[in-house]
Amino acid sequence: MGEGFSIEIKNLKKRFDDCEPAIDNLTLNIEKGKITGLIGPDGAGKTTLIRLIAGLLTPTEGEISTMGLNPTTQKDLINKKIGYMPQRFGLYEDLSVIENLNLYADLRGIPTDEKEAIFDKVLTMTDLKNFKERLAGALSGGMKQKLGLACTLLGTPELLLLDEPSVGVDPISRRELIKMVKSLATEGMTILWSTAYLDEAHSFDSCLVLNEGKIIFNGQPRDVSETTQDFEEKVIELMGGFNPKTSELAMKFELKEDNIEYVIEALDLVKKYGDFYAVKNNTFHIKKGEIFGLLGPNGAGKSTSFKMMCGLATPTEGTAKIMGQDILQNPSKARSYLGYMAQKFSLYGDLSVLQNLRFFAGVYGLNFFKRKEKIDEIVEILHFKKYLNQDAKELPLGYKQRLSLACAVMHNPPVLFLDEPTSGVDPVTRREFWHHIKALAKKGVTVMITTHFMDEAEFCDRISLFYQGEAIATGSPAELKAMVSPTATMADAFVGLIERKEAINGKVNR
Amino acid sequence: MFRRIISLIKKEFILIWKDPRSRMLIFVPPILQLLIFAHAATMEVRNIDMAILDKSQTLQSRDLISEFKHSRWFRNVILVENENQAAKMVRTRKVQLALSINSDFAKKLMQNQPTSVQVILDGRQTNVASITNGYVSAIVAQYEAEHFPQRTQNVPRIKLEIRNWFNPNLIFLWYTAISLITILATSIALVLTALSIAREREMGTFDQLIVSPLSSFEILMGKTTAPLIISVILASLMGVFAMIFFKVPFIGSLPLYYFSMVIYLLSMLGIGLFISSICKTQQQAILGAFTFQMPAILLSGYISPVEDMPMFFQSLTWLNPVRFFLVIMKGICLKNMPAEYVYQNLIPLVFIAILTLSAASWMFKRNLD
Amino acid sequence: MRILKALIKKEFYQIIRDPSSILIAFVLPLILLIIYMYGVNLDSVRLNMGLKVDDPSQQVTTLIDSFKSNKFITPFVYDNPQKMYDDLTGSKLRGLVIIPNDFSSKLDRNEAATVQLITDGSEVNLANYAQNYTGTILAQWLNYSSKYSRKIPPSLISIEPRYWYNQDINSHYFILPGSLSVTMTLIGMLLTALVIAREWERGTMEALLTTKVTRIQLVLGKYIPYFILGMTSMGFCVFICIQVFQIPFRGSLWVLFVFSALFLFTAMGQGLLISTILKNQFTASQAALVVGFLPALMLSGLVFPITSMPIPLQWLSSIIPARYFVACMQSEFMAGTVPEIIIPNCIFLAIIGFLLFILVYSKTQMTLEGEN
Repeated sequence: MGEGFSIEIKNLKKRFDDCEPAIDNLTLNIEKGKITGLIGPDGAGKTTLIRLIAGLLTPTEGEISTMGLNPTTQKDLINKKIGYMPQRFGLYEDLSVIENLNLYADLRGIPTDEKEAIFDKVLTMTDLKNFKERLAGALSGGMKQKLGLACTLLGTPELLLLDEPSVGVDPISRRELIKMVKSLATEGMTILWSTAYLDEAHSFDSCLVLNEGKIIFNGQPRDVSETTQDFEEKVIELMGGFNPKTSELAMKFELKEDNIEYVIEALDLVKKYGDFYAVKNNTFHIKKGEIFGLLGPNGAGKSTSFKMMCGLATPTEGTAKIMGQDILQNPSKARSYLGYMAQKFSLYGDLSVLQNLRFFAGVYGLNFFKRKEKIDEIVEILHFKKYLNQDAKELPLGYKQRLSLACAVMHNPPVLFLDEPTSGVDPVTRREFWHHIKALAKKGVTVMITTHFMDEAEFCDRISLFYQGEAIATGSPAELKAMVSPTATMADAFVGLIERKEAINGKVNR
Repeated sequence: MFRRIISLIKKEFILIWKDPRSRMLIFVPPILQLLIFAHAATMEVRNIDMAILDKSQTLQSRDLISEFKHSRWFRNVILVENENQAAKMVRTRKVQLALSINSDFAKKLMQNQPTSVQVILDGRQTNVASITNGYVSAIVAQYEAEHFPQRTQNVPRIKLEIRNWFNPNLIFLWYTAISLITILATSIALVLTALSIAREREMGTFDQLIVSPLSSFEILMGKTTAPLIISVILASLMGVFAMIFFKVPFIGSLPLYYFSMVIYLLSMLGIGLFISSICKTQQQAILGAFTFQMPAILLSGYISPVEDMPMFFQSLTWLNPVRFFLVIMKGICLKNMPAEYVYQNLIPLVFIAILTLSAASWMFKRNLD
Repeated sequence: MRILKALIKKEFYQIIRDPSSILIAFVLPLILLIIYMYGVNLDSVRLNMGLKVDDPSQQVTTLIDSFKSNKFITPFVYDNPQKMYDDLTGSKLRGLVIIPNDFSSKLDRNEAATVQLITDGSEVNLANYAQNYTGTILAQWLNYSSKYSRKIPPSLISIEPRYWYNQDINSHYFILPGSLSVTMTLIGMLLTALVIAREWERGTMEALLTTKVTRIQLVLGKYIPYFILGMTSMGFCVFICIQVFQIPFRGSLWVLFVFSALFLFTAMGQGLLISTILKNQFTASQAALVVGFLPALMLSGLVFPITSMPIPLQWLSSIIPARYFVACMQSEFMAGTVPEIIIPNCIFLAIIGFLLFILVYSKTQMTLEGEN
């Protein structure tokens, strides 16, 4: 075993059933005592790799050595030395914070007399001291992540395996989380942190970029680029590059003529749950062809606002209008104007591609001939031919995204609602996606989008930044950046504006 | 509007049908259960073991004993020596009854004097015990009639002429098969609908439906049609099985039968959808379906008649579709029930269907958030 | 040891804080007990019967009265025979009795008078009851009627039945304790099936598998909390039966405890096995219903006597744990402790229970292989 390598992998292959291999002939080493980032889109193989390292899965071919031990045969020895945080944090929602901690302390064999001291340290670090008795299910997303991390760190493991600990969370919380891990990590602890966010690459000592089970990049990000943008470019290059052709999707899109000035309107929207205001007095008007972004930390109200606009939630007060139609008064008509693309693929996985396309065509009212014509068109444009009869859940991620987009625009809607559409997607597909979106917007389609990606925020014509139920700033990206400082990046603007509001409001729970 | 609903129905069908496992689970268990349980669920009592203590040891007592031995209801007739033996056999359930013949049995009979036999029955299963007692009475009466015919001549006596309409041989299997078909088809209809919305919620595809132009009415319609059709097919299949394997007759009107079945299933589906719309997870939906099913079956008249229940439960059964449909099923299959009686039972079903479907629709809209 | 205690504690917190567990463990059994007690009646039931009397004579009115005063029959007197037949076909009547016009004249002449009974054969059970009731009413009327009784010699051989263990001949005394087998199967199977599915779907199983937990601890950590829940539920139900519904209990509570524990152990083994193999909720619950619940209801001897079933079904019944439990329950409640019944049944339960335990243990995986 080489000096300074915590994990050694040679020619590793992992196949599930008869599908394409999830891990395809990987050879790599992970250095001891450093933080290594494992980056890749959904389906890249990150979780599979982590599970193989922990011994939760056995390799189809190849060798792994974890801390000098064989995960297949010596799993119980490995268990004593690792901390593992699965994707859904591994928390027991019905147990309180302190009960979860106690449970994991017992499971990892921490002596009873040491418990109190360790808990104290950990609770202070994660800022959860005041929430000891609260049920884990009642914590906010960010708090759950911190608790999950805390439970994993009990027992001071040698190797820390974190499976997407920062998923679905705004940049501020993400930064905090990485800070926390770095400070809690004791000397010599090896950390493997997997994420789908390419922009976290620079926070790590070393980076491993995976796509479709293969290594795209292995090394230090600083060696190839200074900024996140450059790094992303480099990765795209390594993945085969992206050739921006004209978006045929947009070309074939037929937008009906209309005279409406404001395509999407929100008038004094309010959403109350009991006494709690999830959204307060939300008002905006969006013009035809605008790309409008909703940004903000989790729980700020941007998803709730978004949902009220597209009919997924009923406003407590106020009106939402699409193309001049009140979504509550004429729901069917209003909704026929919108196309919706949800996060993380919400089409019918058990249906084939063709069946999905037919279903959505029918539901959006395309008559028989139009349906056939449109479906053939889409299959042609997005290269679905060979996947037509495959179950949607078995598609490679890029194709799933394309399918979702196709179903959303099939009926030529003048308005598109996109809810974190590129989360978990590889950089090339993301590029392609935005290519289509921009082309559609040019043609006159109005787009409303929520996102956590700062660079996507830059693509928007206007942005609304949400915090604690209110839109604290609305304007073009340039305007928002200027509010903070002349040289601010989008991320800086985000953090700066929120910290400013926080200061005004006083100390706040997060 | 219809186009949308049809797309939804097609999709529901594909989802249920596509997975071979779920396909199997829908058809195989009910049919299996029908075949097995129809035979198990019998109120008839057969293969009875009995102990006899013959203190008389005469020709007459042995004649009586041989009546029991030759009877088709009794299997083993064990002769014991004393009361303790008999008691032990009853207590340890080696026999279901013990019969004791007095020592002066023959003497009394010769003198034309009344005598008696003591019967000990195992009260741990009273239904078996009372039927067994009935058999004993019948055999003793037959013995008496055969050996002392003159006692029943030239005296006023009543002869009861019994005709069992619709099922002359009182074949229990027919009753059970028809009831089971109802119960099993109900179970599937309920589970399919209860899971349908809950599963979409868990999978995350539900939002897509809400965001589309489909109104809640259209969604509910789309979600009821596929389970409806599947349940009708299942019930028909089971019906054919029953006719072939159990020789259950069908003498009623087929159109009326299917018409009633559709209305019944609609009421059931309404309940399933209601459950589905208030449950957030599949687990809750399954539990909910189950919690409804059990009391519904018990209080449907399958086990004991509705008119015999206390008023409280009787009024509850007005909301129990199973109660009404069982009557219709048996009526149409075995009795060729006249239409007006069928309608009397159909009207409550229609009400329940309207009630539950509207409640489901309302609940559904409320829980959109 | 500490780990095991921690796992059990965790499971308990989850049980207490999850309303559906309380629903299954306490509310549903209570509802079922109430229904068995008041809604279902396996003893003599009250029937609606039609009555048509063509004989105008005086004596017959006393016969009509004895029909009316009989507590098992609600008679409806008809003039129109067609309507009566229709009502029978329409399931409004369970049977009809027709007394012909030569009824009393035949009796006066010491001949056999015939009475017609037409039953609704589609309700086999009720048809039998109708036969019994009508026969009894007629016989009793004849034997007690002032005009005819002296002409009729009493029957030579009378039968003196004694219902041991259940003098009241109350079917509730055996149905309610026996029904606990169905309830406990529900708890043992449905609850565990759903709980394990939930564990997998929430992803907490993954985290557990990377700690120091051993396989035996994992398995016991599932058995023990739900076993305790089940025993508590059982205790609650037994209490209700004995104290509230006044079901006589003549046996020993210790013995009851022992065989209940054995049965619960077995039911849980069934539930855990199903949920360990089938991780999907729909299939797990269907399997629980088909394999556990319905057989417990139908093939356990609870309502339908096993000895009356066809032979293959009797064999099938021997692998159903509920059968042994029902036998013990019925006996223990009504007859007190009968070792010849209790011991063999307990042995069977123990054997099945341990077999299942071993199966569950071997099927419990410590990796995530086969999860997808």
